[in-house]
Amino acid sequence: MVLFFAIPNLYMLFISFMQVGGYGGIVYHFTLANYGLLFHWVEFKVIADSLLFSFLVTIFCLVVGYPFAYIIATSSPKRKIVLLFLVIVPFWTSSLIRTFAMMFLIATDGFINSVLLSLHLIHQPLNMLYTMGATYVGQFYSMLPYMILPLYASLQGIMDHPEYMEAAKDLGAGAAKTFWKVVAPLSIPGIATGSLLVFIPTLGTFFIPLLMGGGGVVLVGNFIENQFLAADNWPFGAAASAVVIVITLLLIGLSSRYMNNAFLEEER
Amino acid sequence: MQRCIKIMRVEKAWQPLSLAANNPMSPCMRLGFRRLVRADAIYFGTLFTPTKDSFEAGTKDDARHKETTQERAFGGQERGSGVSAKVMIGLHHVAKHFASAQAIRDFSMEIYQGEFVTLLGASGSGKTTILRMIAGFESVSTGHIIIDGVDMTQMPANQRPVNSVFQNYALFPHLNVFDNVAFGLRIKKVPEQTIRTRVYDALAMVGLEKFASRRIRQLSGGQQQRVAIVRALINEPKVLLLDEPLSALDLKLRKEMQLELKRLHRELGITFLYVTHDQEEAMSLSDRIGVLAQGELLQYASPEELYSSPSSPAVAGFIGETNLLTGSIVDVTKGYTIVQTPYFLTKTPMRADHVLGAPVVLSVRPEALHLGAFGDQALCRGVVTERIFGGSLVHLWIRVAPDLTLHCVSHGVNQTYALGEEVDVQWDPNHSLAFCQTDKPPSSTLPGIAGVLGSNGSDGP
Repeated sequence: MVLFFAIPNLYMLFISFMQVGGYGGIVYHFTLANYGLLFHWVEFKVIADSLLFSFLVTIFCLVVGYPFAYIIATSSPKRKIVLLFLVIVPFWTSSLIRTFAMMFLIATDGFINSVLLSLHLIHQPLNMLYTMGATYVGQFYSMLPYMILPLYASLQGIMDHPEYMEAAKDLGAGAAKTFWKVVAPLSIPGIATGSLLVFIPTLGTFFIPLLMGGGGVVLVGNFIENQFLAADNWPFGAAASAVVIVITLLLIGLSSRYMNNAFLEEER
Repeated sequence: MQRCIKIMRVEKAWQPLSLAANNPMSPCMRLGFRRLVRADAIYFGTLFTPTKDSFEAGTKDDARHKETTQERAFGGQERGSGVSAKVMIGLHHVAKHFASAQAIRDFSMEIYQGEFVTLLGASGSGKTTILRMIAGFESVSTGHIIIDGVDMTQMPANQRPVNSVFQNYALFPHLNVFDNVAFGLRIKKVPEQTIRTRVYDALAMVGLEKFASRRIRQLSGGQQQRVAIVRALINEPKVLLLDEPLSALDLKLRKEMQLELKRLHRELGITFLYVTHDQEEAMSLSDRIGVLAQGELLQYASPEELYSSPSSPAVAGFIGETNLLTGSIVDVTKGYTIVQTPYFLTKTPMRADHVLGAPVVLSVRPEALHLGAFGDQALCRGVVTERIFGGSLVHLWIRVAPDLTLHCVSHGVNQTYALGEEVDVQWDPNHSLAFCQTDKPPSSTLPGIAGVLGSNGSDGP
């Protein structure tokens, strides 16, 4: 833990306060300039864009994942196993390979375009790959299971105690009110966990924007990667990473308040 | 009422308490004064020590105060324990089939308005299923459920005029006490201002008005229980359904809550349908008890009737303790039936189904047994094998024969016998009952039967 986690991170924090050499490399001289640079318009926009991107991907995952998790939790035991299996199956393949598979699907000469062309539904291939939309779809697709699983666990906990829903019905609530006033609030820990599990990796993602978005989409993950590998400006990249880590920690702190209120667990 | 209290605080603040308490006042004024007593006791310390009188006056006022707040909280529904002749719940030939088995078969019963009825049975007897069918959580396979004259068989749970108190309370953990109690009123879109007064008045009824903003997990079991009851009652249900609500509480709290439930029932006049496996609880709470076994209603009568004339050995065994002896009818004469048991002849009040030669089960309550030296009058003679001192009652087990041990309860300490002492046994024939043995032998799983019937005579308590 110390060796592989603390030391690299502390070193990174350390070099984020150092100066960059004229031809790359690190000059061990304290400065805050790296952080100052982040507030320039272009760099700031990258971070803002990334936050918006992660936020929207999280919302999409929540909107699609919640009904799915609800269906799983309310299914019969047999169907539950099949559905959970379908959610977990993508984990068996590297997400990089899955991203390549998606590129193949939506490429200009890819599967979807060829099918649509051969059906004469379109006369020109659709331009889907290397767009912002493709980046959203790719990230959404690779993150969805991380949203569904905690949501499912949370909803299953509620379904295991049907007396809460029965109490709501007993007090006059119909199906919709029972959901919004009892089931949804009780599933907040699942929503918080799932959102965190989607938001944080999305904020740091770099290969999906790179592969699906082409060079046109630059998020903070790509930016950091570029600073380290292409521009050879380690201190600047380290500063950007530090900012991302701080944002992440803030979010974890915020959402852990809701996760700690694991309503159902404390009952028994 | 608020205004009244303010006036009291200004005008009467200086008056010595015992004097003021004896003044004739309107209930409202008295209530105001009662509040003042509490406040002054803090401010003036020992200067005006409240006398015993003033506190008693206060207690009476409290009762009156509760009445008025109840009327506000529960919309002034008709009060009093008067059980009217109006049928509130009618179950007509209700049956319930589950995928694997039949839980309830041809179940019919009627509950009058304002009654406190208990369904009593061992676990798996179907009592909870019946409650859940009335609440609407469980569908009815055949038959009809009528609530207040309306057929509710197909009505969804949220549209039935009943409310439930769940076994584990099912209080919403994400809401505080106030919001839990207000839940039903908010669904009904009652104005928020009205909700406020009604929730606080309702909480005051069970002494929890100071806990309104507490989280559920910060309450004790007994407090949660009270919140659960108030949450149901505030909706002014026609029937309150209670599913073993006290089973999670310890004995002392359970007794306390029993009294509380009885009080609420008496004061609100709402029909209560209660489910329990605890016969003592059923006896102490109910106007009528329905005894269930295997999805069938064995007997439905008042506690007194169930105790004094149970319809079957199973009911006799379930309601209180009893000694069961097997025998056969050897004579029927002058209102009495003579029963030959393996060890003695005895007589018992004649029942309609008594025919000569029929095998019977004789039931004698432990408290009907007399011990002493009766000589020729004795029914049998035995040895004291076990003795339990239970405060006002003494339990004795007397072995009459290797396969027959009688359980005897006697009041008073003067009539005690030492272990191993020989003693004569006798009972008033009128306090025994003989059931003709039908094809259904009494189930030995029922409490109270085991240890007396048949060969397991050496069993202790």
